[in-house]
Amino acid sequence: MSPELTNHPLIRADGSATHTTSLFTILAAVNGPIEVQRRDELPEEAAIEVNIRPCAGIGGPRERWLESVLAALLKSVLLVHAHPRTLMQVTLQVLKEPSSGVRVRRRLGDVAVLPALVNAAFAACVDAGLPLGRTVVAGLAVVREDGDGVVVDPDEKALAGCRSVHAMGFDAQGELLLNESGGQFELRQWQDVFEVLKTTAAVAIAPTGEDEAMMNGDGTPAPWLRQALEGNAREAGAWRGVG
Amino acid sequence: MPREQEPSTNEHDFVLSALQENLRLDSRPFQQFRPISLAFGDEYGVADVRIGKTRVLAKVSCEVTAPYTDRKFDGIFTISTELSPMGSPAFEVGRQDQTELLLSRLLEKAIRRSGALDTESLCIIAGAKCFHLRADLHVLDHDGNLVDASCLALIAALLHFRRPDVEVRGEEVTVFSIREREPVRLTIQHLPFCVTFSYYNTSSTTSAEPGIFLQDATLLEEQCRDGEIVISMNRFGEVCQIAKYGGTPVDGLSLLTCTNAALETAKRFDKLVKEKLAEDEKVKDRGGLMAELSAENERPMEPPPG
Repeated sequence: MSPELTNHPLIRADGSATHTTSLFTILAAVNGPIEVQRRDELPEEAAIEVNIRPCAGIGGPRERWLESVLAALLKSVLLVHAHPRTLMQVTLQVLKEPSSGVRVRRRLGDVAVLPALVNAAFAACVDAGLPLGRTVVAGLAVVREDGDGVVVDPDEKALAGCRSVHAMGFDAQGELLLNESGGQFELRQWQDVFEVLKTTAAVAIAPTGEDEAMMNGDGTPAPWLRQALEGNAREAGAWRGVG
Repeated sequence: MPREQEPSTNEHDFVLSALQENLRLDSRPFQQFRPISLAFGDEYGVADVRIGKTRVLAKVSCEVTAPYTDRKFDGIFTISTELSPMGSPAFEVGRQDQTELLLSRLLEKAIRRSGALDTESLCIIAGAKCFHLRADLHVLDHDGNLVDASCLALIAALLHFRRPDVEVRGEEVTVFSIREREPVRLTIQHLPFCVTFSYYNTSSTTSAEPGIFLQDATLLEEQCRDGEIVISMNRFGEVCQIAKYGGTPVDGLSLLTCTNAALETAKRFDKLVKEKLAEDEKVKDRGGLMAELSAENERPMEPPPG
């Protein structure tokens, strides 16, 4: 199943996006640049605040860790120097997660949610019109229990019976921006995963040609992120009759 | 965090003078709601309510824990209403503001303390094991009337939720997952709904004209109001609680008028929830096998002897 992106589902927030993968549904909202509290204010750049809210219950150390990973990533994506002494506030709400019937080991499940969070947050930032330095696409892959064989964008079953989980994020030039792994793996396996995820990330933002409709027919994965972003841009310019 | 932007004096006066001419900014009648939509999630216990631009998502989940020692025969039911900056940038993370406090207090009174949920049915072994049911309310968009939307979402989610089936053999408890056994509905005694009236004190000192009451006020209307009255009642007109906030006095007769209006709204909510639930059940019940899957014991209500 290719990931889905819905733009601007919320009305109140400056920018928002819903991102659905085979495992998670994430709703992201971005407010910014807004007034920042004195204690968080940075003289030369915008402060970034990330809030992750789980589906059920209140956030704990797990959410705090995810927030710190995401804040670091967003800092390298957003042009924080363009808006000094302001705040970029990113709120991520998990709407759906793998059902509790499937037992996933703690650390593996924590890593698994990261790519969905990154993609949702990025799409919301685009929707909010924040100045961005680069594009980021994150992907998730697991190494099967037998030690070789990489599954990209796994379903619940693949996630429950895997040896290691890898979340990676790349920009349009193929530079690694996010690298988090969980479970047991060797360098060789990590390299395999790296190559595979780098390709899928490149595909997600590959330029669409004239024959866009034909590409989806023959089983090649669609450049879903580019399509979503282009759709967003088209909608944004619709009022003046452009494109 | 920025504060909620307050309406300017001009805006404030405009809203009030329009109200005195029997007009609302969106040209609704005073007692009419904005369009309401109610949607259920794929999994049990998720309800998404939209009233105009306000959107609230309720999620009910449960786990097995030990009951409180002073309430051995009851399960645990908690409602969590933590507002996030998603709804409005004015909501701060980790600090309760007044909106949140009032919301959680009202829901507590309207749903938990009115005995809408039979907590005794959540008990598995007295004093040892019970279900802990928790309801999380996520405010996704805030454009006024949070209380009514949250209450509606919560009731809908509770009705939609199924808890896993359990089997008790002596001291041993088996909890069956959704795949193993068809989960069981919660025992809901009645369906209380909150209806909020925003009060505008338009009477001058000389005339004894009662003020204006609005149902389903938008955020702007809420910011301009003098007081509010929240009435929780079910479709039989049984009042669970009445709360009045704001300093201005409201005379008793108008309160009665409000209660009557609230009954109409409660009936509408009740109908809406039941219709949507039936629709959702029809979608989920593909092939019509749901009745056979049920492991629940039928308990026909018999009239008491004598």
